[in-house]
Amino acid sequence: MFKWHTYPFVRLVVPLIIGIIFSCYFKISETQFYVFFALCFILSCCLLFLHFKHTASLKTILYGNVLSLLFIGIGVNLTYINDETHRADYFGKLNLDAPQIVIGEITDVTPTANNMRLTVATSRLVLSDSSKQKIKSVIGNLLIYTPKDSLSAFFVGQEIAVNCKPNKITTLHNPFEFDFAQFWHTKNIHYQCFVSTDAIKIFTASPKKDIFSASAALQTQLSDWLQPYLKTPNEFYVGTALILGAKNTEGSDIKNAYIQTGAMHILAVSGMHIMLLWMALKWLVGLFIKNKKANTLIGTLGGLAVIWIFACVTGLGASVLRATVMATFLGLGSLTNRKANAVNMLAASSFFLLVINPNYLFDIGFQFSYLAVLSIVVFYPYIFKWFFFPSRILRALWEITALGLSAQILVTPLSLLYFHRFGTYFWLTGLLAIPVSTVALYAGLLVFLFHWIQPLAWCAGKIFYVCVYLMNTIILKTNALPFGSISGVYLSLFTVVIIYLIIFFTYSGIYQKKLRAWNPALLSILVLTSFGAFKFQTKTHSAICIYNTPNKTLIDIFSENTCLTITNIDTFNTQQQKQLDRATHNLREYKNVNHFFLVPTDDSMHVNKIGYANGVLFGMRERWLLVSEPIEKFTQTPIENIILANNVTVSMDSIQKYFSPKKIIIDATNRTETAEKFLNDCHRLKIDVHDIKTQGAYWMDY
Amino acid sequence: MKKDIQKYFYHTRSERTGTLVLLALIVLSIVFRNVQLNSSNDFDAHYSQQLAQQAQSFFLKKESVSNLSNDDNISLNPFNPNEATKEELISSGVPSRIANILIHYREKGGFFKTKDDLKKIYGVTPQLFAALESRVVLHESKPFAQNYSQNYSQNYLPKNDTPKVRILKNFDPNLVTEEELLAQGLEKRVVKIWLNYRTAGKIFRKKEDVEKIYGITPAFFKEIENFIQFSENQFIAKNLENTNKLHNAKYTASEAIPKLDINSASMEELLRLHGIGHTFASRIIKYREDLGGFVAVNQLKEIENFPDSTFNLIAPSLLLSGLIQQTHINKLNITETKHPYLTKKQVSILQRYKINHGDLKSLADMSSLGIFSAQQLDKLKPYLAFD
Repeated sequence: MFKWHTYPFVRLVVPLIIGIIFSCYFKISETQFYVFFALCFILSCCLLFLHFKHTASLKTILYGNVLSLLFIGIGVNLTYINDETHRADYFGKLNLDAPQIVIGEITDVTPTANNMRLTVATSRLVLSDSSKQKIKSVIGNLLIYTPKDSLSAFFVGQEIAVNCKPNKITTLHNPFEFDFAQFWHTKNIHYQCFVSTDAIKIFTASPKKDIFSASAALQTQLSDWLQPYLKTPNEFYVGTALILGAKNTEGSDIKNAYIQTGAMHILAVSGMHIMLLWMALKWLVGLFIKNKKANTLIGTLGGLAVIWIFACVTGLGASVLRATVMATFLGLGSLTNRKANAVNMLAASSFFLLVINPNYLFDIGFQFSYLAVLSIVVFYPYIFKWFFFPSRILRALWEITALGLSAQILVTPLSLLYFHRFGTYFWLTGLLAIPVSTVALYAGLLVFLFHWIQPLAWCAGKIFYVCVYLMNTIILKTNALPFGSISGVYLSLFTVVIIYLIIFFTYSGIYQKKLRAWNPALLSILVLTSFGAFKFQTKTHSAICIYNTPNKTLIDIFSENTCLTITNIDTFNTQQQKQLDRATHNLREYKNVNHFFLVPTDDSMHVNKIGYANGVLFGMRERWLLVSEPIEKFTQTPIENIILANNVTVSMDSIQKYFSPKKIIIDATNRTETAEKFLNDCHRLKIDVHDIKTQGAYWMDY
Repeated sequence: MKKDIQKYFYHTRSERTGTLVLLALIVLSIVFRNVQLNSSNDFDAHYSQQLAQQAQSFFLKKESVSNLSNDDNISLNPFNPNEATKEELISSGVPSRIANILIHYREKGGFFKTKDDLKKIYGVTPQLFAALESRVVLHESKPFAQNYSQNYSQNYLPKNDTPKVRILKNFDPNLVTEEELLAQGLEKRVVKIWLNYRTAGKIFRKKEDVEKIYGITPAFFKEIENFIQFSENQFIAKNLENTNKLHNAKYTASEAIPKLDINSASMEELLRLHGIGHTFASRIIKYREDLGGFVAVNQLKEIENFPDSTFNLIAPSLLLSGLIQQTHINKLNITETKHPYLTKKQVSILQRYKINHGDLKSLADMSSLGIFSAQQLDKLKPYLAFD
């Protein structure tokens, strides 16, 4: 029998999450915030009133209702308060048209492929638009990209001044493209700028001394200690990532191999590390303190302290925080002799983290971490029972495999949503790599422990290196196996939600033996399949997509497995080629394209029913015309849709007169003013119009 | 169903107390965070002033803009943008780059009527303008039109440094001196071209040759035509003789050379061929490297601008060895492959084909792609390796 009072936090965290999602999707304004705030206040008063009055059965239900509403309100309010753009002294509210001097403190340093990425918490802005300089106190995070020639020069906690013109982070909105703006928004970062190293002044005189800069410094120190034992770049990358959560760019290939084989959870510092560390500490304390009471007290408190330090050193990622908070609850619970319910503890820790920072809800690491643990907690007991092995070794191996399998149940739909691929050998990598990574972790910790006793440290370092090398080899070999990954799976958010509903109802149907659950389960499956069938039907048809690439025309037309690209991008320029690939590869993968043809905008080509000639794109159900230079003679060819490019001087009235188009697309090559003029004309003539620059890529299936 | 909902909303007494405590904790945490944010934000005004000044001086040094109103250490002079020289401008705090632009603007006839006109100068940012504004002094002495016309006439009307009286007398275009030509009323530029023509070893053989000089208009040619006279001169005879000798020497030399292997010939060896200078020698070598070696002498004709006459001259003296470097069709790289018979488009398609279908196995595979004509494939055939 399911009893809610054994999971009190689940009932609190659900309305909180609803509130956060509500607040993020319906961007609430200031007045709405005050309405919600007042509502929360009234609801809290009601709650107090209901609490102290006698509670009849109706009133108790009312109490639950009020409580749920209150927590929805709290979710909304917390999200609003947490968003720095709503604060009066946010620097984005000032005039940022001209370059300004921004003074702030570095909170994160990450090397990317070509640049250094600094996250700066701004504190002051020097305004110099008039002859007199003014210093404004501001807040807000700013991303700064600077060429990668001064790696050692920046560290967390440094105060710097930057002469820059911050730009809003924008997304191009190409099909299935990763939404960077959204990604940074959830990290409370809305502006970025690219500057040369000349434009950064470092005030070395005042390095701040707080816990974050100290732990960042400790991380660099520890990674220096590991360096002599990890000479090869792949091993250095994996070694430091495994034990310190360090972020390097050199190992992007090996990182991809880990992602593709579904073994990223080994590399990302997470619950497994915390658990192993916790066990080692318990064992150590057990060696020295024999008194049972003192043992638990010192072991728990000391262990928690060490775990928190470890979490800080690894950079307080969402998954580490989850594990640490859960361990803290577990430890404190065991001190007061309380039994912990795993699901409730999970809900409690997520509640705690979401109250601290509601944006964690949109952190990919947070989502994966919680779903994986929830999945293990829910499904592992059942899956483990599938087989029973009398042999102890076989049983242990099955245990690891069952863990991996059960974690995948809830993680897979989400990873398909984000990464569009599924590593089929996750069970194999789990089986082989997890034991090795356990040894590697302990060996690595021993290197730190014995750093002052060189011979021992050398031994530990060697073991560490061998383990990491072995792990990398396993992963790379697995990655090279055939049928290693199912790629090109593109799911919409709607589909993913339906899949989760199916999992939930099927679970209650099978394991909780609820006959009623089968109705919604079957209904969801019906919805999913009909939706999928519809999608499948459109997938094979001809289509057109006009991508959003800055100042470039890029159009793909699809027919069956062929793709004809019309562009003025110089494909022999590596930078532009990359731009093209980034924009197009998702949609092409989605459409299963395997024949590519590229035509410059001033050329013509005709392949497999589709073609391009004299600016006309044909072969689909509708004809498109690319207008990139003034039309000299209007022919009477039937043209249904028109693409305007290159700031072309053309009168919309004549276009309307000769073509009367169904749709007009304003390409990304047009200036903002030109685009606005076109938009106004189209609105005046009541033509359906789409502006690529502001509305993102345009994609049409026929 | 109804029961389930009821159960969901029912809270036990301890839960109710617990949620109240939790609520209080949340409120406390929000209050604490706000207090902390505000406390960290009321900054030390003096300290931030110091920081700002440090940063500003740092950036100004970088930009070589050495002025800001609150900087008292440097005394800056007022200046008149219509008259100031470059040094004066720089001493007044205008960055040297912008001073150059400003002077250029004036030379082109630009004039500063009001202080706001300074903003027109490229590179004068609002900040710089704000700093400079107080020091700009504009004299009302010269009215704009006068100044403008003066500037314009100075810079744009033709200058009268050529003599007004043209001395027209008979001259020999092969011997005439610079001064004499100038006296004829020719521009300096044209005189220079004239002299260059001669120093390049060319000779005026008839009157019409003079008209070939770039810059001599038909009208001008008509004027001087009657004054041109050719004197039978030793110098010319010598010159002619010299060129003839050279010509013959080269011709005889190429006859004497043994047959040359173009797949291994060096630059020097190629230069010995008749009609092959440095340009064509290097073009041949470049083409050979790009191709991977010649398979037919005819391929020389494919070289850019290679004249048929030259080809006919040298073809008999050429040999071919079978040293050919083959191109691995499955290892093409769009940035590195420069084979003249493969366009970049074709290479990119081949690359894509390889990604989608695996390696190309034979010529038939390539022809099935539909991007090569039969003729192209024939030409490519000896250069391809499928492995």
